[in-house]
Amino acid sequence: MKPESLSDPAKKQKRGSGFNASFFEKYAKWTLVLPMVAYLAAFTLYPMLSNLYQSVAKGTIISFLSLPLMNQTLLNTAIFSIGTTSLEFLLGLLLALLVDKVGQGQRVFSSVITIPLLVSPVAVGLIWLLIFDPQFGPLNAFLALLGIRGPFWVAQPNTIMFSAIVASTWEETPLVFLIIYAGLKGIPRQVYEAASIDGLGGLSMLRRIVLPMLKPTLAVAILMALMTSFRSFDLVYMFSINGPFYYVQTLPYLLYQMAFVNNFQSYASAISVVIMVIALVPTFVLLKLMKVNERLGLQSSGGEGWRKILGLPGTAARRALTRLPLAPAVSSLMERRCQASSERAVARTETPRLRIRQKGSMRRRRSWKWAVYAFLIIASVIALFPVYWSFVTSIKDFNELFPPGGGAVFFPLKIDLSGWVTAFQDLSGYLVTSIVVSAAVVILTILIAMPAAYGISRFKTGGTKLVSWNIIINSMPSVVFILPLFYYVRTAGIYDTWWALISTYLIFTVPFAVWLLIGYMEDIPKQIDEAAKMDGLGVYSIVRRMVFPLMKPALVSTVLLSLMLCWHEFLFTLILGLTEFSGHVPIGARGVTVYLTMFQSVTNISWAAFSAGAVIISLPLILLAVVLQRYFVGGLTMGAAKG
Amino acid sequence: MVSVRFVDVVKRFGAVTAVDHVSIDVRDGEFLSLLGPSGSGKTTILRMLAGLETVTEGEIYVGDEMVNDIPPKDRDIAMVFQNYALYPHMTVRDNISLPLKVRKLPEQQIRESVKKASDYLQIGHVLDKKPGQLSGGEQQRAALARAIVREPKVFLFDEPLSNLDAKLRVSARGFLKRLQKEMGTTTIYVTHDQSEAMTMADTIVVMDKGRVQQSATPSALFNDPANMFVAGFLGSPSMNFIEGSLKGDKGAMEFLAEKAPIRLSGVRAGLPAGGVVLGVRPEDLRVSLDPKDGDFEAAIYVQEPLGSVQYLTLEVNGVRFIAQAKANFDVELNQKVGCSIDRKRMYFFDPKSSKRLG
Repeated sequence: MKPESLSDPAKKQKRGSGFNASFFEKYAKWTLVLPMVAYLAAFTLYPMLSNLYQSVAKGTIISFLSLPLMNQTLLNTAIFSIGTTSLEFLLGLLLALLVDKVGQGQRVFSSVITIPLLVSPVAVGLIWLLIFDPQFGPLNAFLALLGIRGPFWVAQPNTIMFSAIVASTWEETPLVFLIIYAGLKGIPRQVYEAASIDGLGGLSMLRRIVLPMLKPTLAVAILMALMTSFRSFDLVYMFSINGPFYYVQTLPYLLYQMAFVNNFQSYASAISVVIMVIALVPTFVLLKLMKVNERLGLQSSGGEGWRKILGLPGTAARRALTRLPLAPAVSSLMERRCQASSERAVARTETPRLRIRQKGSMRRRRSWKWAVYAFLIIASVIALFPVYWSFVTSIKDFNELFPPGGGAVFFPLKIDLSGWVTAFQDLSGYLVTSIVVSAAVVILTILIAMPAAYGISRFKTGGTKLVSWNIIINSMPSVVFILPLFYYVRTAGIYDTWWALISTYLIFTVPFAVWLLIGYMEDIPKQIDEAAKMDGLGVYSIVRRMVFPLMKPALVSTVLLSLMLCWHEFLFTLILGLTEFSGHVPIGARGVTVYLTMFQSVTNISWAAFSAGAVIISLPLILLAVVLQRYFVGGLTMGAAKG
Repeated sequence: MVSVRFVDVVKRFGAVTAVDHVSIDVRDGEFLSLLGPSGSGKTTILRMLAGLETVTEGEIYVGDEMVNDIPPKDRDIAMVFQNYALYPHMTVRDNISLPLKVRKLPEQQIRESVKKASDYLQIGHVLDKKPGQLSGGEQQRAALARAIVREPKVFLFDEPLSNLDAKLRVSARGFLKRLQKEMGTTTIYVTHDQSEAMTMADTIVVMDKGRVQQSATPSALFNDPANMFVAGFLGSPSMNFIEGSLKGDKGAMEFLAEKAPIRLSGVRAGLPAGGVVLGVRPEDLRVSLDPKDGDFEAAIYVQEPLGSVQYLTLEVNGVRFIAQAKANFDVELNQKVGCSIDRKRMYFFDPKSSKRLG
């Protein structure tokens, strides 16, 4: 009798809920991913095809190479991409290896080294323009102290490219560092222990054990670095408008020039196609490395395999990474222990002569340790200095900004807050736009990406194809989409409105979020879903009541990184917006980054205001990321992120 | 209170046939155990009944209703998972009340049902904790509470004891059996552990390679196995199998081992002459230090004392088998002993089909 009373309401409920709900439930495999597929088809697939059509139909793709400036631009692009990538890779690898080795302060060092990644690329450009300023910049002032007369850096054809590479390397090295550091943390301690008992140590351990095990991680790091530098637009833009642009402009910048300054739209389409093709090469290699089918659990068993993407062997390793405070203590303890045991083993089996050598190497090891600390401290200073410089510049008065006779004041004696006042007045409009747009994009991203990730993870909708598509979109330079989107936005009548940005920013956030969320979703046991199904929940209720609350950490990462993408975005807000802030409440589509581009180092002397602007723009994200560090790092490394 | 029927059910995953024409009848209120090694299809059968897997061919009935196309939430079947699948973000109370909340029962009734279930399972004191804060045994009881609270037509258990430690497993076994009898709910219990199936089930269905090998009461399975698989799967240590042949005529037959000088006369009549496999359980093999007439000789290969008894692995010409002996049976390695087999406890199998003979 009682079972009757329990099951009856369920049946009534089912009948009452109508056709629609059951339709969505029945075809959940498709309905879950539908919003994502529809959006990506309209906003990414269409623009790419449109570029192809435009350039082929009008024949511009053929005359591509005869474009004025083309040779120099291709050369610039190659120098910039390869130069930045190799510098970033070497520095990132070195830093990761060293930070992983130090006993104390791993967390502090890794946080400090990560900070440049949190500064928006436009702000990075601005700050480095200040640093490279030939007359009042700190770099030449520092060189003067050493008795060297510094070059004109950004103002000179033969040094501007070098300056841009330095600035870009400063910004992007942390990404390489984080990826490799995560890979290092993923090597099980037992491997080190076994190797040290087998007599390996120091460089032989690095050469025979660590680097071979890191190979896939290193490949991912190089590709990520290559892709980020190839699509770099913001920083190149800042340098181009403030120096001899001919010697620094790269393909994305040329596309922008052709499309929106010179009005050669069909040539711009042709350049888009070329950029697309070039970008696809590293992307396909990356797709191979990322083993999409393993992340989806399509080939490997138990969903363990995808963690190999970053050389992360398991949950424990990721925990070690995301809970940095604990990891160093444990690892240093383990290190000490395995050192001791290896030494004991050596002492027992080797001759006394060898034992003496062991003592010598101990002394060497100790001095080596100090060298490591010294190096890391210098690296931290370099990581922090530009941030410090933008801050001190913002509070200097005129005389300290531009000392008569040149040079730079490193420690200002007087504080002048007028720059901050100006910045707040000028920025407030852009801030409102950025805040509203970011918030809307983040919410929409979760609403679209969450069901899509669940559908792909549990129903394997589209197999690996949908996910691969997401990764391809993720690694495409955003300039590729801008021209068709510009027409879209104009036609839709939302040009220079918040909607222009909200509708297009999802291009960056949705694919990224889907890939990230799938990774975390595979960690939720499928039995939870099944138990919920047996308990009477439908697919959509399972997403809402089970998956959503269980994914909280992943959601924090997703929100944080989506927020960062929106907040730092520059190209779209430059093109799709028009209204400059003029004291009234803004409704235009111009975000905070646009404000900084009004800086012209030569003609504009309100350095303090723009520096203050850079600080105001960067600070919220830096604080947020420091507070939520484990989510930030976890998300970046799990997604092997888009920079 | 319902019966469950599987009629000629087939499940294929691509080219792999996981369940191959299986028909099972579960009586109203019966405790039926699906027993088999991993990959035998037992869990797939359970999941098809739960509605978590589709049925490729055949029909499944709960009561008189064919449930093939009914979604799991409308089947009114509860399942306890191997890892319990408690919702980690909810308190135990919310876990237990979720199935009732989803069915939109009145608040008051939910509270009473949860109280009843949690009192019955003695987890009233942990209702406001999250599953992560519970011990293994408490988690298991919470999962049980979630299953019984909605008084479903059928209980499904998917190896629910395998995450418990050995000691707790034995007590949980008895508890589950008692609970099933008190509730009187039709129950299907999947396990690969023969002792669980033997101690708890009314009927055991032994599965291998997607097919039903035998379906019978525990004692019938043990004493009257239908084939070598069932004979070898039940009992610990498993039954010894010795290849050989039967000779003789109606009066009395004689077994001759193929690879070893083992000759056993006085085998009961009525069996077909020719190649056979002799099956004998370790407890039906007697060893002694002074061999009698008709005994055969074997050497001690390994000795495994267990306290009350010991298991001896014996060897004759490379043929090895296990015998149970008293703990105080004092032998050394490689020592020769005499062996005899209880003639009434000998099983013979067809070496080709592996079916039981006679």
